[in-house]
Amino acid sequence: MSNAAVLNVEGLKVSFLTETGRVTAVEEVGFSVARGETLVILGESGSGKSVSASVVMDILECPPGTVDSGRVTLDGTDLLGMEPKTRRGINGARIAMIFQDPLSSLNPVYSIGTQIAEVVNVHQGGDGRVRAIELLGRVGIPDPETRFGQYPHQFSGGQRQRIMIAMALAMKPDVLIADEPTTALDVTVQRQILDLLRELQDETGMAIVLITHDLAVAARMADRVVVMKDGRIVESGDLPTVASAPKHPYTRALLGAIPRLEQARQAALSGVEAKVLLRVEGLSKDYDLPGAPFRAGRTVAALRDISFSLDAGTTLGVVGESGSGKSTLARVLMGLDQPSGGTVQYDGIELFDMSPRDRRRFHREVQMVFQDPFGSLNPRMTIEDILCEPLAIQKDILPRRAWRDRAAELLELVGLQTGHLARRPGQFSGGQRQRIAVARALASQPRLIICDEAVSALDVQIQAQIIELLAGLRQSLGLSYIFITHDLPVVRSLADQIIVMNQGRIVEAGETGGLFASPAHPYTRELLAASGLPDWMAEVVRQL
Amino acid sequence: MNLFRRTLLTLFSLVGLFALVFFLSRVTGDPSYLFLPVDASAEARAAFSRAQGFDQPVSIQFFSYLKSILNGDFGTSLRQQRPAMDIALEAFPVTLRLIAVSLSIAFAGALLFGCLAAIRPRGIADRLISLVSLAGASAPDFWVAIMLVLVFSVKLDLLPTSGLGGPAYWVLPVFVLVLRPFGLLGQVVRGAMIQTLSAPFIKTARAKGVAEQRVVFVHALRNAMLPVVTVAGDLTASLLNGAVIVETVFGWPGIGGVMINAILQRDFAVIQATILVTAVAILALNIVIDLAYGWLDPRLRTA
Repeated sequence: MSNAAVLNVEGLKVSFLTETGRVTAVEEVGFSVARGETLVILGESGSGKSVSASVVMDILECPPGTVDSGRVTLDGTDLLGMEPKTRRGINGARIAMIFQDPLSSLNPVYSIGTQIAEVVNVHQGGDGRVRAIELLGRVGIPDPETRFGQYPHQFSGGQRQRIMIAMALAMKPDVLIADEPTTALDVTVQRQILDLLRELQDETGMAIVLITHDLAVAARMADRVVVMKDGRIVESGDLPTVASAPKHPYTRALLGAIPRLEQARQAALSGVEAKVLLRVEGLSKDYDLPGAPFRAGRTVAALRDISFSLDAGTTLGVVGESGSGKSTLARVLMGLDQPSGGTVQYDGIELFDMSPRDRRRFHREVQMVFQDPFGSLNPRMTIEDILCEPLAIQKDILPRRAWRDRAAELLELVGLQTGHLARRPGQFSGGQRQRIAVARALASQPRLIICDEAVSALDVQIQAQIIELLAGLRQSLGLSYIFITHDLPVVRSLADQIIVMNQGRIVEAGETGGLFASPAHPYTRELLAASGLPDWMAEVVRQL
Repeated sequence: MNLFRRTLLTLFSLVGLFALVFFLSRVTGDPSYLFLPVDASAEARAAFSRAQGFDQPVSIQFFSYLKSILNGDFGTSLRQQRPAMDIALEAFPVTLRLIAVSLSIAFAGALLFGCLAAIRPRGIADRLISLVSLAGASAPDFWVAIMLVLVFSVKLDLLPTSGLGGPAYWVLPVFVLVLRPFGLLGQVVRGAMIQTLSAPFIKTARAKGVAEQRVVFVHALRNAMLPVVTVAGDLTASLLNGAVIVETVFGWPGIGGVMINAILQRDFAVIQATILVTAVAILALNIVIDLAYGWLDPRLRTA
């Protein structure tokens, strides 16, 4: 960059003290960003992007972390060797930061107004209330005077991130570090937040360092990009240049993961005659909210008049943003929640009127894979116990002596080593855990697996691997899937049919190809536009 | 749940508890055996029972008792021949004062030292504080009480052994009563604070440039308070029942001692009065704790 860099990082090396010794997290990392410029640091989890940002922000946990070498300067002033008190004066005033999860990043017990005003109070003294209200209005929170006194849980995800942005901008900082600012948000909201950041940057001329794993976000925002892998910078430059001529294998793989996700799926039905496995008709589900005394509670319709059918051996994609009712649908389909109306027929038998025997068979044949591979596996059980538990519940599948072999077989099926049986979930990465979750679902020899956001928490490359695994298993085991996701591109490669849900209703349903080619409903179009790559980027990717 | 419903439920449980105590205490046996001389004649016993109304069926006794309660009469102590409620209300403030002072000290100490320990887990401060609080939580209070009396009152003659009086009389009982709550609460504060200090919003506070003291005592502490308040409430309730052992060792005429004596003497009216007083206090405490939850954490406030 020709104009002077406001933030400059050189030769940064950070290591962590772990039980097995010192591990280098980041090495030889350097980047700089100028006023009015956006630098995107792109990389997957564990690549060292957040660690680098923590050092700049002086919020690295020390110990176990230590900055071994390197320089961080702001307008030429060294930040690393500064007196703690002086350093604190810079945080929030000249460099500010927003984080991935705005709910847990806001203090739940103080009003949002107080938390914004605190920044002014800490750096400038005085009340800060007026400034806080002004900021809330600027970031698009309606009725800021009233909402000043409300608490984080009373806002939506997008609004919370707006509040975080208001807090970060309170002192008009020179540099804003945004660490995965939109990852926890719905796609349509993602776009609004990114647009807001852009707008505010044009207004204030601040520099933005945007950390993300999402190529689409990078493509939308970046002036320049730095690609990180295993704690090192493997590529840097203008995004169009980097994308059209990637030098490092990792960058190529990252770009390659996109076409893999979007590739047309393999023919799912080969020779199998279509037989309806699951038929849903007019399904609705209301939740009663408790009311105040002497007043009736409200009823919220989470599902309204949902109808579809799923043929054996096919995959149905259920797409919608949070609050669209897709998780409620999953709960009802699993028989965990009674519907308020409508019917669900599994293999010709009404789900909520089953004999105990049929119900047992249903629970054996319909399994689920959840979103969070960290939360859905019991950390204290070994992988073998986890995989054998379904066999212990459904006693008639296999005799006990065969369990161990079956568990080993399942692990191989999902691409893990049989030697891992004695380990516990904590010793695996996110992608590996999700493989284990799939193996567990397979243990009872199901016919239908419901995947609720099963790949949403994973890095793109890993996402593609899990999708490939699911597709392969469908082929070899004759499975059906209901694949629930907020991410349209993900289902494209897997689903035969897609239904798009919004506010508890199906707004559009159809063949995957047709739906992507000509989305009929405006909401579907909005979803597609928000999650897709900009045209030039899509073009670059297509040529790979 | 709003306060109105809450109070209503509280009244219900009070009536239930009361019935339970009334019937159960009558199962313990005929008080005339304890009040009249061992060789009293059967006629004398019958006359005593008739005079006290014990010859009536228990259910009749219960309803006539309820009726007199509505008139503010909680019965008369057999032993002391004065209103049972007076006895309970005399003893209760003694206990209340003792545990108010002790728990305030324990609470304040636990907050301060628990936080200090949590700032650097496994640091020197943490190890030292954990050792002290663990020892405090584990030491049997009657033993500590007796040892303290032996050392400070008998050997060194610095403090009075027992009784009510000036500040010097407070030192030993309060110290003994502080130990266990301080130890337990200190551990709870430490655990809750360690967890809270690793929360993302703490990172946000640091990124805002908030000074470390404020991060710990303003941003983290209030979030860590819920489990602390729960445990503190439990401790208060158990002490309200009477810090019997400490009261006995130090000769404090608190409600615990009164209750135990009444039970031993089958002085039904006093048993009922003391239990009623402590039950009301404990139920009131629970309401206060619920309100405290709401004040501490806006997510628990009901619309």
